[in-house]
Amino acid sequence: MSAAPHAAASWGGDMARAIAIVVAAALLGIVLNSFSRKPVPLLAGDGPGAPPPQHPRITVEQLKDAFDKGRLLMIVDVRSPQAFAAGHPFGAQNAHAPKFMDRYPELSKHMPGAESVVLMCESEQCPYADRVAKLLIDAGHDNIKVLHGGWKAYAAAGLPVEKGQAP
Amino acid sequence: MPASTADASLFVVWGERMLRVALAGVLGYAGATKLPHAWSFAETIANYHLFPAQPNQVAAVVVPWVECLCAILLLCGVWVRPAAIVSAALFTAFGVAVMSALARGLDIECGCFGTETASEVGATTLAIDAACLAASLALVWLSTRRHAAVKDLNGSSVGPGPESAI
Repeated sequence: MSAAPHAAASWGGDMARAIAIVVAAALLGIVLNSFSRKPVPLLAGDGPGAPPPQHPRITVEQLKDAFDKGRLLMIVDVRSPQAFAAGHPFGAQNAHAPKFMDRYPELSKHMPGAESVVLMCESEQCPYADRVAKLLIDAGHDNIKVLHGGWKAYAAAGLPVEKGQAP
Repeated sequence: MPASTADASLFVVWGERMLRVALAGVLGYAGATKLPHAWSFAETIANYHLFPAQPNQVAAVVVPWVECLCAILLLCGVWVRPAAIVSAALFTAFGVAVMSALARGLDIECGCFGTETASEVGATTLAIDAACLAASLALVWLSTRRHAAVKDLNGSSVGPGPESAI
């Protein structure tokens, strides 16, 4: 027998084993997900795999106007601590989106007193501000806005900026 | 056995071992960091805007287990080539997703090593993915070479075959 049919059979067997690995992992994942404390709803159209809905926006012009009129705004920067340290709106709080709930108890004390809580991400192409907005609206906050254009629009507008880590 | 053939065999054996352990480490870490956070991993996949909610949710539950299973097989040296093939397929898919996100200018986090770490998609993510894909493909190749060497060895031990007698 020549080597080619051997090699083909070997590759065929290994491809079947590769598929078996994926199938076994899929079964394991799906079964264990159903027993987990917070199972992912696999077939839900509005589950965590759905893109976040767009929440009410505030533009940098409206933000500047609010600053000029001395309105009490709370800006929450949901970018990473590294991005926050490199530059952020003056007086902003940092609460990195994936760990937002860790900082929520502290931040939520000040939220009702603010006229608006302005959530800010890197740009309009960044979904984290909308994700956090959904969390806050679901938690009962009704003064939540997302900064249109995010940090890029804020920095380009020449509004007050500071650098450094969050306190 | 000639010295050059022995060197080549050593290269194949040790190269395969090192790649197996390295890839198992990367895949195991990537899978283990995602496993407890399937919910936020589904959100991370959704941020790429590639698929509707349902495939994203299934992927969030399945992909970490594929990574962990491949890591275990590679570490144990069982089904090395199939695990390396799956690993290469995974890194190809990750690479396509990252390139697509970069092409659309999305400001999102990679989610490559769980959702707790802040690693935005960018050139670094793409470089790490390319290195892992190259390692997976090299492992497929080395594993194939080792299989061939073992077959040659078995063939030579039973004496010359009919083709060599001609």
